[in-house]
Amino acid sequence: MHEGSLDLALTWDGKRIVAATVVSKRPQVASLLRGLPAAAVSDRVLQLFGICRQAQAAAAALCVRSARGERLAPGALDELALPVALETISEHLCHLLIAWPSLLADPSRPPRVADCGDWRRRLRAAADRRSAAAVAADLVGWLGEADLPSPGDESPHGAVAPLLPLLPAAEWACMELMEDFALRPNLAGEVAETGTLARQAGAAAITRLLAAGRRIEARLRARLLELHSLAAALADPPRLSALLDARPVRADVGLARVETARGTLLHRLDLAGDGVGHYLIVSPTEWNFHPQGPFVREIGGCPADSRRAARFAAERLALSLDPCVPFSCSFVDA
Amino acid sequence: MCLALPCRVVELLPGEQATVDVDGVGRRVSLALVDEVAVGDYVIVHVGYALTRLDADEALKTLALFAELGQAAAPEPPAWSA
Repeated sequence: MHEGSLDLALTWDGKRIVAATVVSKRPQVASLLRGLPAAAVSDRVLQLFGICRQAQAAAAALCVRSARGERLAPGALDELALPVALETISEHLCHLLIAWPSLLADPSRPPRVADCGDWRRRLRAAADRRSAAAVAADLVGWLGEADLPSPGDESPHGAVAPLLPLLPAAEWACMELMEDFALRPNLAGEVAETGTLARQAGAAAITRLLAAGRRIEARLRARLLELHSLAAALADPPRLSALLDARPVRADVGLARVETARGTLLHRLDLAGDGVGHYLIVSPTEWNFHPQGPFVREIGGCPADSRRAARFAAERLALSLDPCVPFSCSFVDA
Repeated sequence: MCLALPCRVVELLPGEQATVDVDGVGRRVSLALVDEVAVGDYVIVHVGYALTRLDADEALKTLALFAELGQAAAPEPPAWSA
C-alpha cells in the first residue's frame, strides 16, 4: 500500500508553463469502511487517517448520527468542533512555520520547527476548552510578533478557479454525490477552490490582495487570519460549531460537512441495516488538484525563463493550495 | 501522507532525525514534532516530519489493515490532462 502522492507534470516551452497535468495517487480509502458496523466507523477512520484525523473522525461520527436520524443534543456540535479547531490550528502552524520556509529556502528565515513543535505540544496538552483558549490567546500574541514568511513576487496569472462557497450540509445533502464526485468534485459542474482563501475571501485585506492579483499571498494571509479567528473562537464555543454540521439525505443516508485546515471535507454514509452499505469521502485535495481545478488553471501561462523557475512557480502554487499528500513536479517539453 | 501508514523507526540520528522503514525503504525524517521516540517505535510521517508516535500494537493492527485491503484501496490511478 503506497502512501499517496500527486504527480504534477509541467509542459514548459522555455518561456512559460503552457499546460499542466495532475496525476493523483491518493488512495480512496472509503471502501475500507464498507461492511463495518456503523458504531465502529469513527474509530476506524481515526485509525486510517494520519492528518486531519480529528476532522475525519468528527465527520464520520456526525455522518453516522445523521444517517440514523439522531438529533444532536445542544452543545454536541461544539464538543465535536473543539478537537477539529485545535487540529486546524496545529496544521496552520506547520504550514506557516515549516512548509513555507522550507520551500522558500531563505537562509535568514529558516523553518521554525522548534517553535512549531512547542506550540503543538502546548495545544495537545490543553486538557479542556478553557486551557485551550488560554494557549490560543498566547499563540495569537506570539503570532503578532513572529516573522512570518512572504511568498515573494507573483507573476500575473491566467485563469483562476472560482472559490467554493461555504455551504451547509443541508445544501450538500440535496446533491446526488456519486462515486465519481469523490475523485472529481464540482459544484453545479464548476470546479472550485476550497480552503482558507475560499473561507476568508470576504476579509478586506484578502479582497485587496486578490484585486492586486496576489493570489498566493492571499492564501497565505488568509491562513493567518483564520488562525487568529480560530484562536479567538476557542473562548467562544458557539462560534466553533460553524466548522461542522450534518443532515440526513433520506432514511438511512447521512451527510456530514467539516471545515478542515485544507478546506471542505464531506462524508456520506448509506446504511445497510446497522452496517455501512456505502461510504463516500470527498477530500479538499480533490477539489484543488482536480484535472481542471485551481492548480491546473492557475499555473497555465505562468512565465518561467528556466526549468528551475518553472519548478519553483509550480511548487509554490501547489504549496499554497496545501495538498494532504506529498507532491512532485516533472517536465514535458512543449 | 493523509493516511496513517505507520513507519518503524530503525535508527536515531543526530539533530532530532531518524531513519524510518517505509515499505522496506529507509527514509530520513525529523522527530522534532514528537517526544520520546526510540528505535522500534512506530510513527506517522507527513512530508518529512514524524507527527504522531503510535504504540506497537496499534501500529501493527493498522499495518495489517492496510496490508489486507491495500489492493482494494489503491487502484491504478487515472491520468488527467489539463
